[in-house]
Amino acid sequence: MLATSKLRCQLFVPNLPKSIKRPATNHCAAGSPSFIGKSKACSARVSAGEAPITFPRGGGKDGDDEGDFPFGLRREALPKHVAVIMDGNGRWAASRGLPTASGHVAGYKALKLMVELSCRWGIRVLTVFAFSSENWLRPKPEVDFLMTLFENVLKEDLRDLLREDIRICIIGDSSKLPKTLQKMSTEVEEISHRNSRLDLVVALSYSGRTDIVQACQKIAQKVKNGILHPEDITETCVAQELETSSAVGYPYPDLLIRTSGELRLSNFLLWELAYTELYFSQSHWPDFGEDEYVEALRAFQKRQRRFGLRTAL
Amino acid sequence: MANLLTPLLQFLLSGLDLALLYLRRCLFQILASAPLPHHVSFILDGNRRYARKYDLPPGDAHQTGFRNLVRILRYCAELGLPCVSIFAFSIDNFRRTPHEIATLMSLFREKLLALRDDIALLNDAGIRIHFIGDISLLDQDIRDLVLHLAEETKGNDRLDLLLCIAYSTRYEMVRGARGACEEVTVADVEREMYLTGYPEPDLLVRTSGEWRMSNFVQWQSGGCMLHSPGCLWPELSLRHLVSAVVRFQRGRDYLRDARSKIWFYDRCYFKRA
Repeated sequence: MLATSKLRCQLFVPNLPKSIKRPATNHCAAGSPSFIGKSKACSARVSAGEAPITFPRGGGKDGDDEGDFPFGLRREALPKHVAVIMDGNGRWAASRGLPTASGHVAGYKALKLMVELSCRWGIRVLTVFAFSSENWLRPKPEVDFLMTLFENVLKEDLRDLLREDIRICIIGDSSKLPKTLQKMSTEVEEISHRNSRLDLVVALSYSGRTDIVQACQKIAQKVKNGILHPEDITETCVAQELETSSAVGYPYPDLLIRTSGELRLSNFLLWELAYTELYFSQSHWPDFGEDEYVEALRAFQKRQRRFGLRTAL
Repeated sequence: MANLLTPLLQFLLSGLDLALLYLRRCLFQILASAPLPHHVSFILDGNRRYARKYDLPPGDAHQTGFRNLVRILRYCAELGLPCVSIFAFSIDNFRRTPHEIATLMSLFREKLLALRDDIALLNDAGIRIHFIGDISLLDQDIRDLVLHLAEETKGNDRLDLLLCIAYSTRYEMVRGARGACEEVTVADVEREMYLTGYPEPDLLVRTSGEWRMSNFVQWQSGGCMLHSPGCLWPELSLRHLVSAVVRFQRGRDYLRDARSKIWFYDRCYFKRA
């Protein structure tokens, strides 16, 4: 494509995210303490993609952060499992006249902020749609850049994620990923598998339908081996074979957030989303900061979840 | 004088009906200048909230919803949509109270009987009814009515109406898994699904402002546009339907690309495996 050579020039970004070298001393501007209230007068609005991100040291444990809990949210009514479709990096970059790669880097910063906030507020599982199976059809330079970004992220920020007691699971068709990334993701999963504060499930090269069909393949194998009869196949059997069953305790999302205003699921978690509350935000993903996250959680708290039953009158 | 008023009033009302029909046709012709969705799905949510809002007796809640369903189906047929699916009753709804299930079943029975008695209406409108779901979970007489109606309307080809009763996406996928135990590809899993053979939904409309799939057409909705107007199901009207179709038309190209990528990947992945 003619556009590809242009894109190759645009994709060169000299500074990939640097590792965190010193303890954090202040929160980023987008994450200012919410007891100040919703007014943004204290600082100019900075999108999550542009603000420096740090993990607070020692401030994330229970009992220390009561003052940081956002106004209007009830801790007991927060979702246990939040899923996110991180859409809009390219459009965010285009609106600022930046190359697409900058959009993806800014998107990564927004993800780090979301992980930090989820840890702080006691959300147990965070599933993010980082790269779908359909994204392989994007221009090769962009795909290569994204694979490099994923590798650098796993290499450089791993220590911080481990220190924060975050368990990382990578779901999706790993056979299409570069060998180095496959090896790194296996190592990261092994190293972090004992962590328990937050399960961060990253969907890389993932397709909802493929996940369901691979579960059916495993079940078919069990039937062939005589372990299972076809009439004993139930929803639980299928659910156990899905890749998302690795999220211990809360395999189904309570809340799905999709950014940049698009109203569709795009082949993400098709089995798991039966009774998930869907929330669509107009902001692009790099702009999705603490305010937008609080808004999504507030909207979740107002929802009436009935699971096919009736609420009592 | 009173004897003249009634026929005069009837004449005026029928004139008004004709005028509204003509205006609707003009509006639908304008809408049809851009591609229309092939398959629109509706989740009928909000009947009881509507009854509470307008202080109607609880027994009237679903009747009101049914009347609006007939109206919306008429608009869909006039607009020329080829396929409409309705999420009437989920398998998960069997966990409701026996009283409410009995009320719903008797409503289905009453309406199916009325349709059977007036089958000419469906045939004139060119509507073919398909029942989607595990009808073995329904009472015998309702099952017989369902099969009879499907048989009587099978020659119609203007609008395919998929009535999802005793349906849930996960149950459908489990059926697919059971049926695909020999050779498992996407096509094998889909073979035993209820909605195989019908086009995938282009547009899913859920009323009452709720944003949930509720175990409906999840497998098929990877590239489907979701729309949730704030009105309750009995309040869904022509303007909401037009607004939904216009939104679909604005996002259509992107949806078509998204869907073709999902199909392309399915074919590539399973050929390779």
